[in-house]
Amino acid sequence: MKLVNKILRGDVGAASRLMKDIEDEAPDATDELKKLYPHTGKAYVVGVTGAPGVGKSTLIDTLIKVFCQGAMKVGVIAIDPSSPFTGGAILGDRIRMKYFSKDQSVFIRSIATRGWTGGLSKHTLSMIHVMDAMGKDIVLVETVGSGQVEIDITKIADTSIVALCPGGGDEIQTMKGGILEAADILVVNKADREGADDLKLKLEIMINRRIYSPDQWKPGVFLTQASNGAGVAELMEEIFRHKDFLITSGGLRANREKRARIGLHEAIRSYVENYISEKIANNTYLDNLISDIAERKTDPYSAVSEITDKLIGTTIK
Amino acid sequence: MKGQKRIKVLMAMPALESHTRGLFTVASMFRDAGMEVVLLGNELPERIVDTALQEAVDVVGISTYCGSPVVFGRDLLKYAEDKGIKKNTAFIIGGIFPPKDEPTLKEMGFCGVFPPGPGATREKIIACVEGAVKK
Amino acid sequence: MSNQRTTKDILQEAAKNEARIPLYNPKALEAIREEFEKWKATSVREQERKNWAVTPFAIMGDEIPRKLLYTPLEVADLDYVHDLGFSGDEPYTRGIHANMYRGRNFTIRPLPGAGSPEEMNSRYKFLISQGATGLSVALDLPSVQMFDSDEPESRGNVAVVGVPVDCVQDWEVIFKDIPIDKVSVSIVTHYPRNTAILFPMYLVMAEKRGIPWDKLPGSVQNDFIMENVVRGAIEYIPPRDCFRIQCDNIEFIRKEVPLWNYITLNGYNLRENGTSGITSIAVAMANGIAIIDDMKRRGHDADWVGERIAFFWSFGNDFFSEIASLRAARRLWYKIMKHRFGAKNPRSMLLRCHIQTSGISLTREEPLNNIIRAAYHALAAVLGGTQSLHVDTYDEAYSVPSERTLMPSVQTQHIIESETQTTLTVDPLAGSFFVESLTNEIEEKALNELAEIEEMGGIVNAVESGWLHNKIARFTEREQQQIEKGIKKVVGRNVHQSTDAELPTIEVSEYDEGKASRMIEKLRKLRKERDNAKVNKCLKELRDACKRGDNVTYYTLEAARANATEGELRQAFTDAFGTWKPPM
Repeated sequence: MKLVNKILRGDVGAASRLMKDIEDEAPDATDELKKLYPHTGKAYVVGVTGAPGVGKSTLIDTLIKVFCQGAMKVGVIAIDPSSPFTGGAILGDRIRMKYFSKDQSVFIRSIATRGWTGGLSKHTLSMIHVMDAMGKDIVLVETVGSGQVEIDITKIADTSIVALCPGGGDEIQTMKGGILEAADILVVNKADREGADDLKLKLEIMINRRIYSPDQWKPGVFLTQASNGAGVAELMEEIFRHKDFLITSGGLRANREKRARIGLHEAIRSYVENYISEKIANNTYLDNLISDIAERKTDPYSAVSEITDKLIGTTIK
Repeated sequence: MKGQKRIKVLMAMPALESHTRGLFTVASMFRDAGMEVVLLGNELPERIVDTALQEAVDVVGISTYCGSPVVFGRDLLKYAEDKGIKKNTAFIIGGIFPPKDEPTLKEMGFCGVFPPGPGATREKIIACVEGAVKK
Repeated sequence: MSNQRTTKDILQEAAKNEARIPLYNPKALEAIREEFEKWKATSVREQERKNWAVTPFAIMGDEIPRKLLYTPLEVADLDYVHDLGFSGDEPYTRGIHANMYRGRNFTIRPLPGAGSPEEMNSRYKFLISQGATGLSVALDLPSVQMFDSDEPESRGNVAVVGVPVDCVQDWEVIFKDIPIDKVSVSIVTHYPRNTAILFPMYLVMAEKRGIPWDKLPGSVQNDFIMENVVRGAIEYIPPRDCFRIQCDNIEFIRKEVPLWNYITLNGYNLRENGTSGITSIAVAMANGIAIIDDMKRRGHDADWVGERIAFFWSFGNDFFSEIASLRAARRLWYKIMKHRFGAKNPRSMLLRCHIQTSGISLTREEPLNNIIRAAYHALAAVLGGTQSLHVDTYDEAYSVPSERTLMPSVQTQHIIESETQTTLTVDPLAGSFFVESLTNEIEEKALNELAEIEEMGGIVNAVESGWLHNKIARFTEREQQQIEKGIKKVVGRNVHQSTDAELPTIEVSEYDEGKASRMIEKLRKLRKERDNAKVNKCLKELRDACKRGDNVTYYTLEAARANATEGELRQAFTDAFGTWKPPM
């Protein structure tokens, strides 16, 4: 059976091998993705972001459980940072994601940023496509959690959840950092801790200060205790309420376009980069250019024009 | 920037194992050598194999101090065979176990067996993993 | 809590009100200083003058710099009565008994090995026939981790490193015909949850034999640091709930089983897991403080609780530091009980302890060297004044100790006792400028780490936030690198490897599938024959008690009476409290 067909039938091994090739940027991966793409577009993408220690992984673990109980197939992409020095990474989210389904309806994939910034990995979107093609109803994406709100997730998720917890210390910082623009749903996790209600109230005041038009989604604040699952069923309901809102408001289609746009830009960028590095891989052309730039004989901007003019040339009108 | 192939390792220990020191030490060792390490912690052999399958790892590393590594190892490799990942994945095991278990574990399919001691240096463990992945 | 004063603040204030009588007169000190400077300038080589203090690098070491030579100048303000006193007298620096080992030798407590309940029963009977007055119960891994022998997680682990205990019936077999009202039994439960499950089962066994609980001597470990930090596990309950079970156990045992020691603050496993000795002291004491605070909140007196708190330490390679640390810990605990809690009863100010020699300091290379290492650890423990001792066997780095390797370990202790003559004089290193200075430094550093924990809001917060986990991770990683770079020297591993070191034959107890199947069969029968409706009712009542905040140990006791199993009770706790993962 062809790889694509295997993936479409939900074959874990086939999907996970393709994901590996995508990450390693193996030449065949793009061809497989081309074949898969027509079969994607069905999965609902939920992003979860928030500072370290707020309990994102445990929250996702309990979300997986409630989705499964609702007979949904779940994919998870958990992203952790690569070391800028060695390129190595510890992907530790699975220590917290222990919900286990015998029928393999839950597929969790840990990936490293490999130098990509913004809380995602370069290949997050392609990974989502693979899970989508496998027939996952929901794809949860957990961002790095570097301490700031990682806004990139909102560009690819249908519903973005920003998680906080009382006593996190940086809660105010998080609030300043554009959290309300980023979040469709705000979660105050570890709600049994002192200050949870306070934090919820603060967030609600911030939300109420903003003006939302009737056709605009107004984020709600939810208390959860991921450790024992309290409040997580309500959170799931809210996710679906947001989904319904997107469907009726046309937002879901807009999201699809948003993702297509990012996908195209990403594809162009990576294609052009690869194209250029292939074309000028085996000569000293680049080295000379670099030393010219360093010696101020030319500048990087002119150098780029020179390269693209030589290699690509014409403009699309 | 062109993507670079990285070795991906899954680190786990038997479900009830209570000694964590070895697992974390070796995990940081691999990270520092530029590998991507999925930490799983305590798990049943069956779930370790399922995780390895989902993560498409090149290597599965097991840390064990108590209990029988032979019983555990046999279960693990049997599931790996059933799920079709035994051939393309390198299995290594380290920790505290009797010397006489070493040949048994190797025979059963672990390509690296590391009791503490002169054979378990950073260099040797990493060389074993890199060698196994090349194959 | 964070706006409260730290123990350091309290002790500093208490010290202000005490008039000190310095042992050394200022004139003498001045003369010493003068001569010292002269000597240093003329007789000491440039190289040593430059490196006057060097950092010692030992496994799990404290890294307190060592000077070339110590003089009274390092302990210039020593007040003899106040800082050292006499053995059995405040501040207990010199030991907790006036006559120390002349009165009672340190207890020699070898671990009993592994086997089925029936095998343990005959081994205990043998030990008693040989004159043993105390027995230790080492549980197998499933029982330690609170899993029944028939759960899939237990596969390959039943009866391997200890004895399996699933239910009351197993205790009945293990202690059949053994006079548990006369022999003290140390049950190495490690965790609070485990203690709350297995100890009531032990009590039900006594009850069925008609032995009143107030006649039972013995101890359990019951330390939440063990359950939430030291142990690796498939699931944890939140530290705050685990701490509460720890305190519920203490309250229950203190009331119902008056001769029983209800907690051993376990610095041993924490340190072996990857901390310095100082951190292990600070954490154990922070837990002790949190316990007494909690008991006071429940309306009990500090003396009522303090009386039976015991400690458990690891002794490693840095010989003098180990000795000094025990002296420092005794003095610090005394001060905490006296000044922080206003204790009146001398018994609650005493730091009683058991010491095990360090396992992590032993090597797999040239295993016979481990006998020598453990002997130094053991000698340090005796010079430090321990109450009880366990010397690791030389095959520790391979597997569960075998009976053959147990012999040199027990004999090491007998040699110290009978041949070295070190037990005739109490606290023989007192007064050494070096040892007293080291004792002061360790006490100060432990107090500082304690303050750091208290500023976080106490030990439960320090665990909940991942502070302690991260500290261990950093320490371990650094130590590993230090060994690899040869900064920490390990003979036979990174220095002085012997070329012809032959491995001694290592005997290992085999995993016996038969023992596991017998345990599984027993459980099958039990689950068929017992009143399952009653079991379910007890489990539900336990879950409700967890949520209500009642003392849970009374409920696990009822469940034990109804023949609930260990795994079922673990699950009830997890269902009630939810799971938790260390944030790291």
